Amino acid sequence: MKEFLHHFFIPRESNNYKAKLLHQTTLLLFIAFFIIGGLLLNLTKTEYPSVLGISTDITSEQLLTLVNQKRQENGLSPLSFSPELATAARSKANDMFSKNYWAHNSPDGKTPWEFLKEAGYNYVYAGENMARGFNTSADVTNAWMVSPTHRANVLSPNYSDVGFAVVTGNLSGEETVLVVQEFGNRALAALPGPSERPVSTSLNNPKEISIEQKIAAIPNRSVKSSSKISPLSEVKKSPLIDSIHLTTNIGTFIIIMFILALISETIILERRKIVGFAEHNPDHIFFLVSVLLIIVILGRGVIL
Amino acid sequence: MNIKSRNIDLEYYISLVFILSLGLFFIILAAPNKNLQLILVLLTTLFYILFGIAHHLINHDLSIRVMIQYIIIGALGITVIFFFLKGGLGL
Repeated sequence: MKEFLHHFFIPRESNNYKAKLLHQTTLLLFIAFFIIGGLLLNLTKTEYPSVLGISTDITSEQLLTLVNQKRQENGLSPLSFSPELATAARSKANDMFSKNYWAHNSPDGKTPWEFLKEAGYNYVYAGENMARGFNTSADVTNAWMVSPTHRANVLSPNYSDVGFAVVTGNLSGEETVLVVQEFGNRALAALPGPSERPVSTSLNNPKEISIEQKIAAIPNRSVKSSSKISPLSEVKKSPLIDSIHLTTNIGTFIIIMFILALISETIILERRKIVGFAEHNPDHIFFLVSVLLIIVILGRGVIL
Repeated sequence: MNIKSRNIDLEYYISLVFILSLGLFFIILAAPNKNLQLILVLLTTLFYILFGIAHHLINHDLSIRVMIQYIIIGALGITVIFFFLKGGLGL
């Protein structure tokens, strides 16, 4: 076994001073493994979703608890769950799926505030945070807290209510879990003075409407909180094997194995003053490290 | 390897790291558009292969074996990402 591992990883006479792992035939075998493996795993995911799939655990309750926890840690009062805001969030999520977009404003110019009004929430202040591609409520909340503009929404003293929608659907050909968080305040008495007004955020981030606009936009009709749509939403999936973890771990393990073999080859051949293909190894190492980073980037969730 | 050759190598490695970093930067910017990200992954890999080949051409040590090595390592990178996207994310 020791002999085999040496032959596989260490350049020496038996492998013509090139680790067997780095021989072209071995590399081609790994390429074939990744192609066939990817296709087989995809087939298994489709045919047996209870066995292999993306593990997800995001619920409105968890999000509410985590958001209020963050607010209380920062000396702010907790937000109340609003069924109207949850309805607005769900309508927004459904609108994104049906019109296939990922933005605060829809392609036909519909703003988040219109969804609030349609749901019967008479806002004075309003804000919106969104997330997609996350697997747990904690991941979503942490991502919002890292982004200054989303964090500003979570920790804004101007909001009193919050509503969430956690919806699964197909967005741009990708099966995605969308999380929409709508903030609001309909208590005129809670308005801060001019000096306390929140600083406006960047264009592509959650916005807060100016006081004048908000007051003008308040509809007079009464609100029925007994919405037909369930205000609480969640996406919970716990397949036997999490496909993201499985493929990430296999891919990372094999790439790290190659990087280590390339490093050991470079060091050993340099020490023995053997001129060979190890001269190209730094290129390959840089590239393979980039591949590892790309996997991390592709697997990350996105917030808006 | 003489001093001039080492300098060329250093410049080459710095340029390569810059190109790869630029590729990663654009892949982050393209999120969450997976199709665009995939195109950028392919372009980054293509740059890596062409840049490596050009470097060896300048150093006058380009051979078919060197070219194949870059192509195979590039293909390995692409297939690992394919494995992750297809098998992991289910795209």
